[in-house]
Amino acid sequence: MTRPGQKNRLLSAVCDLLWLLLKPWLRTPVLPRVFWYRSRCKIWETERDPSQADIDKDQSQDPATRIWPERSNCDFLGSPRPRFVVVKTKWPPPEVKRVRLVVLRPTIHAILAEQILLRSPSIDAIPVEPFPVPAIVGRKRSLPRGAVPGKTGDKSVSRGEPLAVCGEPSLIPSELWTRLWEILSSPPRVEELIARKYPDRLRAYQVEGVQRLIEKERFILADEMGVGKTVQVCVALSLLIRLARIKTALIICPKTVLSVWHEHLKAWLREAETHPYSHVHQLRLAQREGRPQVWVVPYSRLAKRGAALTWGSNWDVVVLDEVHEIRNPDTNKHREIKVVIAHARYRWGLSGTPLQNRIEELTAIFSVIKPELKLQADGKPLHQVREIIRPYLRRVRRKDAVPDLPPKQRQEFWLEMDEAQARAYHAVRNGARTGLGGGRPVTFTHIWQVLTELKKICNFAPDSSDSPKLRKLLEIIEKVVARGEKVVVFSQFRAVGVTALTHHLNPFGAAVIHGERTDEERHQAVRRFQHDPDCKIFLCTVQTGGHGLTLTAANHVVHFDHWWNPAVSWQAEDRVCRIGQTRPVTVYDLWMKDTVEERIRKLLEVKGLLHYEVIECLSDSEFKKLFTLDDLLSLLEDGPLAG
Amino acid sequence: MFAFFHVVIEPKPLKFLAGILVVDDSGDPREFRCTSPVQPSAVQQILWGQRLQRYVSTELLLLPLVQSLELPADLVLVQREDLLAARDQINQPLLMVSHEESNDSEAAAQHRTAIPIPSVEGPERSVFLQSARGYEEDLAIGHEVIHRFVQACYPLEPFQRIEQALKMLKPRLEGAGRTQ
Repeated sequence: MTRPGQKNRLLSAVCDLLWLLLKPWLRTPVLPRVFWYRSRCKIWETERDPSQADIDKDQSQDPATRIWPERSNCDFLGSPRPRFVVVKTKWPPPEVKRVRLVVLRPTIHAILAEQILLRSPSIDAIPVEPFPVPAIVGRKRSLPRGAVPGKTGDKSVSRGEPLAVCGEPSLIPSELWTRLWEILSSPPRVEELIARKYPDRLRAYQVEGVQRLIEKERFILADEMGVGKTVQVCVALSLLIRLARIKTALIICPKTVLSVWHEHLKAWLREAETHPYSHVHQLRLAQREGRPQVWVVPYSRLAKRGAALTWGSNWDVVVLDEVHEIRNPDTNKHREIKVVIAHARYRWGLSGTPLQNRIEELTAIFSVIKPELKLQADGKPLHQVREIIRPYLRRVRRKDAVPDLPPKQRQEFWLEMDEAQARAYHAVRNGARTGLGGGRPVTFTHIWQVLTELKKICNFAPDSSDSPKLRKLLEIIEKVVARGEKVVVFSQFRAVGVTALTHHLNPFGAAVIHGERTDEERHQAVRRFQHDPDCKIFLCTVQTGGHGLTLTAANHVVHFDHWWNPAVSWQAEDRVCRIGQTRPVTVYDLWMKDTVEERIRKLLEVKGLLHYEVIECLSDSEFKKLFTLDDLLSLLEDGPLAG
Repeated sequence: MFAFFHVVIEPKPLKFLAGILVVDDSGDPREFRCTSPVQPSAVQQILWGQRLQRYVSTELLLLPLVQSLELPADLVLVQREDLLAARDQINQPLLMVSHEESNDSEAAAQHRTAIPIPSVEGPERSVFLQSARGYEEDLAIGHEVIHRFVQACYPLEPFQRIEQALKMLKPRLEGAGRTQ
């Protein structure tokens, strides 16, 4: 509200001075400044935004509008809520102002001119409509004659005796009451609840997993990839919500699997509000709601110092997907998660990599998941540690869990470089050899760079968009697509892999993901590939698409190139060869003859690193530590590898 | 026997729907009653302001439902603190049950007691009972009878049942009721 015009500023100043003097004697020390209008306008307030028609018509006819006569003391204006105030003046035309009516001191001018303190308010009566009386319906449960309440041993549902119903006796039909008593009955045991809620949808080992998650409260599911750890967690959350044991759950996972959680929560957990792409401000809003809440956040959000302050520690359940992410106790991530999880009753860890082989990391992981165990694994024999953690960790192998999984066949194609590739390859290799022979110290970093450069040339020669690998890939794809089937193509490189291939594969309706795509785009790409019959190709880097996703719409996998650690490629294949796959899966490996690709593969063979059990638990950096400088230098030479 | 009273509030349009479930010591349902939805008009919402929720929940829903029960409930349990105001008008002890301790002042602690819940693993958990001011003796009664109940059932679970039942019945109950 503004003061009217240029009216007598000097008088205002004098009045303000008088105000200070008179203040102690005034009965109502604060009043709204809106009084300036009172002598020549009409004021009313309304909850809704008034239209021009509302302003023009007689407001007294509108029961939702409070009419305030010109000469009231307008005490409503002390309301802290924002209101629409309509000021109807003779001139200028009526104005609508949306104001937060802060109570201000009046000016003496208003007090003197209107003598407002001497007036009592005149208030219009508003008819108060009564609330309708709600109808009450109900039933009483009938017990067998002579039975002691609660000791019948019969949990079956009694139909109950109907009670008097106000109004309409047929409001709830008898058959509905039968169902209603089922809902109202005390919840059955977990296994009964699973059998009732998910008949034939869970395998025996999954039911056991759900039971152990619920009963143990602090537990690590270390089942192999692709046997349904995510489903077990969703079902366990659903049951806990049904049993009213939890209200809030936080799932922390790698960024690439946010969409997987989103899909699973949507399919398996309808009792709760789920927030898969969540931000802190949404958390604050949602905390006010009454429904159970499940939040999914990537580890990166909790990797910053102080993140725990933001995400709080009032969670009933905290799930750590890929729990080995917290294996280093000296990281911020470990410390922050420890705070977030501090008051959680249920703490679950998921990991496809077996923890039994990595003794020193178990201490860090169990200090978060089950601190009361006080596990000190360092220096203890493996079998002793296994016995300690056995009640709190379970591992199911895929071959045991899903014996009926379709077979996986492998086809290797050994190709020869074209002229441009051979020229570029030899130039880089010879340059590197010369550089290494120049007397300067040789470092791992330098050799890794050279090897990476050579591997890129095996895909495409510099400035070329054609290569033997591409031609073979297109040949495979054409055959597969002609049969109406789908293919997943993995590459370790974005520029000379995914980006270079996108143009060639787009005609087949390729869904593409790589590191620069947002979570939502990745989620959309996976959905499109799984559900759109016209989308035949899923093209991704092995880093972004190689874990966590479910791509069972395909039954063919092509490795356009290969990561150092073959376990990474095998895990990537498991996106296709997993529960839900009904057809035999074919994996195609494209290799270049007489190149670093062939030599790396032979080196892995010589060192015994092509066995899944040996390398499945190794991270990339740990895997690289298995090679000596001489091993790497031998890759740049000609001739057979030294055994 | 215990009566669990639960109100479901739908925000848009604002509606209140309530149910009361009487269970025996083993958690089996013995009697259930629910109301048709109460939908305050815009004017009622303005005039009642912040008192609306409490007024509708207690005067229009809790009291009629408790009075309509045929089976005698030893205790009435609710989940909201403002519902405790109805204690003056009912004969049974009325307690609020929650799974977290309220952060009120120490003065309020005398209206509250903790009930340990048996747990398979991990630290022991508790639920908390709170009585209306001036009815601290309700706590002693509640503490005794709830102790029997927690052996069979988690004390907040029956509210979940009521909510599910109300969700199922809501379409049937819309429009029922009468004007005064």
